[in-house]
Amino acid sequence: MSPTVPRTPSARLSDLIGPDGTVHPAELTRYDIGPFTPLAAVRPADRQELTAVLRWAAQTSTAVYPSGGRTQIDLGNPPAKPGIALDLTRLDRLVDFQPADLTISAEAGMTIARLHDILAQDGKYVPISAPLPSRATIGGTLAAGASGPLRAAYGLPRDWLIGITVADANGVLTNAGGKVVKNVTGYDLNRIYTGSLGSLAVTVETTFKLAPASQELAAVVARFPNAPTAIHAAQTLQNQHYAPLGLHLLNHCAAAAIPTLPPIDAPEFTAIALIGGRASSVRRRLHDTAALWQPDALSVALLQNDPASDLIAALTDLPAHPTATLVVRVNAPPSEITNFFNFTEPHLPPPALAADVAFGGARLLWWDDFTAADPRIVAAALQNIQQSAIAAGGSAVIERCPHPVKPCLDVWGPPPSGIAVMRRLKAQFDPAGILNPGRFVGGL
Amino acid sequence: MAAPDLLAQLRSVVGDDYVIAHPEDLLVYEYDGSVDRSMPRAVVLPASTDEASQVIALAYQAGVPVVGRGSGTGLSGGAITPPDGLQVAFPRMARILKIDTLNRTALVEPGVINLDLDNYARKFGLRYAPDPSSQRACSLGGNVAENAGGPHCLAYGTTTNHVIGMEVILEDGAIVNLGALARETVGYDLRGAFVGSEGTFGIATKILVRLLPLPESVRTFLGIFADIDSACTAVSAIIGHGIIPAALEMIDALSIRAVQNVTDAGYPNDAGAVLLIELEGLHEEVDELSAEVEAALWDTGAADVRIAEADAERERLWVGRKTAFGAFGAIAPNYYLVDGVVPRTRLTHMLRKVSEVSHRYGITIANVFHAGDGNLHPCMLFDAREPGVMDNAMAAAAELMAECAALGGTLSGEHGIGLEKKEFMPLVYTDDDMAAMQKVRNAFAPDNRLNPGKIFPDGSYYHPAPHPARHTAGLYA
Repeated sequence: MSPTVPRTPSARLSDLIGPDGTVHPAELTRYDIGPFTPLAAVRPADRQELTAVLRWAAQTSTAVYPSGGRTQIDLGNPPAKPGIALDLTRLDRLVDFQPADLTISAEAGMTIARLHDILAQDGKYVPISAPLPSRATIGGTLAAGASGPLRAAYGLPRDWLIGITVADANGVLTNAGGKVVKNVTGYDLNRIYTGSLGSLAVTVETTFKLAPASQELAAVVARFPNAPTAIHAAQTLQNQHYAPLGLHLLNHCAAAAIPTLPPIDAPEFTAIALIGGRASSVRRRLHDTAALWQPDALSVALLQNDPASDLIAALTDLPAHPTATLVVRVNAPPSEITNFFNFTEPHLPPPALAADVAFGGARLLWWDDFTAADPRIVAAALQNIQQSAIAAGGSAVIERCPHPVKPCLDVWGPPPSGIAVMRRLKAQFDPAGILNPGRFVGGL
Repeated sequence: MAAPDLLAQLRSVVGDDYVIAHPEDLLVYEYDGSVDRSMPRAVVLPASTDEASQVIALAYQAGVPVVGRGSGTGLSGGAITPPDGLQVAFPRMARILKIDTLNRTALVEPGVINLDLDNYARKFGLRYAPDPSSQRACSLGGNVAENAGGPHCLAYGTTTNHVIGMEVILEDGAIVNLGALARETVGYDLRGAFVGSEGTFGIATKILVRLLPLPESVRTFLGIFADIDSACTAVSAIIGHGIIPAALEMIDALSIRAVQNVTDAGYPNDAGAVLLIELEGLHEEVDELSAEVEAALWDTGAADVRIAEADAERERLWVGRKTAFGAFGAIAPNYYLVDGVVPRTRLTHMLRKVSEVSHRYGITIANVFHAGDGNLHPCMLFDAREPGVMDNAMAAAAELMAECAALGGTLSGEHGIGLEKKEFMPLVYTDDDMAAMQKVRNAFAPDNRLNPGKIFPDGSYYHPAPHPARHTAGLYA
């Protein structure tokens, strides 16, 4: 295979992977990353085609922008150079499911919804969670480091990934971890690839350890007169033996974005305790939580089974709300996240706020039209949020913002303490800078 | 070479008393809990991050490799220092700096002993979950380096699941924070990569760990079986039933007798195997799960099932498990421990292989292990003074590791690769796989000055024949 640069990338790519895997130029805009349109897009059918594409990209120094269900394609800084879109959704096979060993292996293009369906048939569960699970893929979810409303109890996706196969920047397949639930054989590359936004390698196959599925799901939804009473209620619940799987506080704007929640007025807050497990324990948790919250709450409602599942799904989808114009993820310890409840920023309207107070995190969302606003002023306001989050021992990521704002800031915030190591890591794995270039922390 | 002027420089940083360089004083630093040994040039005991950083920077400038040491309980040779290398140990950095009950975290120095942290946290209704059998002696810094496990990691995960952030020193002395106070961070998960990197990426000087609330109810079961096969079947039945106990441990006949010889843990002397099972949660959960666990034990042929709920009774059962490796001293003066992992459904097969290897090599092998995780600990018992016995034990261990790999398992579940298992890495990883791992090391430690010669196969060992007058193996697993 000669390393000549083709006249048009897609002509040569179709030779490598066949016309079925090549996207017609008229459909290229489906692969836009903001205002950026790729030179071509390919949909490899298997790992042979995938590695051929990556070898071609390495030989021609063409940038590659991997994607799954494209539900979080906005996440990241603007692409640094022209390149091709690499659509991994055809790599979606179930490789190995061992219910008795509590492990599953699946290709990275499988959707989260299908993964959960396969597991549910055997009463199993893996707490890998992302907005829009019927489109979001395993690979995309891991790359974005996405997590859901039950993460306080179950941990992050990286805690469940036990094995991974990736294709590196030269198209070489490598494995890390394995298919056993406990493993310290060599370095833990699972954790390095998780949350790396496809900037080190392209995920091909993943193996997860599994948990038994909850027999029942339930939720307690309570309305509190203001933020301090809601925070007090949440912290009191956290200290009980019957503390829930997830504990969320929503201001009136955020509650309004979830249709199944009763509307509230400012300054009220909605508190949600998400409960799951054995039927006997779910009953106890529901009863005791309601009793604990009753005295201070304006109202308390109990949800069981489908309505509870629907609420969990709605909380999961909230960060990807289709009409939100600006979405910020704040990471901060539980004690500090409540400082963002009184968020005011002179150049931004008041946001919707949904806080995961047990884990320590929040989403700020806006639906306002920023087209008339000066993007530098919006960017400066967002950078203030990032600084506040850093001062609180955390960080803030601008997950979605108007296109003109993005070039005015680093959506990941100022580089973290380990940035020198991170730069060397990127240089080790992708010396030519062709994997999702420019999009990650510090422009990596 | 560690030139005399390096030692003088080190003394000026930490004080004369805290640079150990006399050969007799260095004897205790030449080995850890494994069978390997090598005498470091000197051991330095810094009192602060700043001192540790200066020490490591001086060694870097002098071209001297540095190895971090916790309590020396490691079981893979991780703390064995190359000849002329410098060891940095942390008995003077052993403070619990802060317990944060609202965020449920503890900030500790690397020399804090695992059990001391757990005991202290319990005063606040919290606990530190990872509980290696060496928890009375092992340090948090060493736990981080090895990604240490323990019985209760079945339900709560190993050390990596409990470390939120760290202050670490890189090979050139640079101080870097990994992770943050928040559990979710931006950028590559350097914290996750660091935990379990066996001291090759850096040395942690502050560690922020999660603490978990104490459960409302705890119940411990002793499932007594006539043979190890039926005990394995019970393990599969419990896991297959959708129950992940807090702990699920197996103790074989030889180990039962060794334990009972030393302390009455309540294990029947004539049993073929016992399972130690712990359930935790709300009263309702524990009641419901108890009924199912008990039924699973009887269904799979248990000869008897005993239940302990009172603290004293439960502790007695656990003392047996946690002192087993010390109790082996009455059978033979030395042991060598394998840490392989297999998919849980292959336990029966693997234990038959252990038995077959034991007979074929003529080596006594005891089994006390984390059955719920599929993490075996075949423990070879021998007298290292007998000629050729070490080589025989190593050859048997190699066969067992190869079998674990062939069954879809791996070489180590919680002890690390270190020196002991590095030549076996090709059983589970290709050259390309290991090259990818080394890229991460190159990012953290481009000059490979921290704990060099570990993890990856290179044909080098530091252990001469074991000293005839001394036990070479550690006390814990």
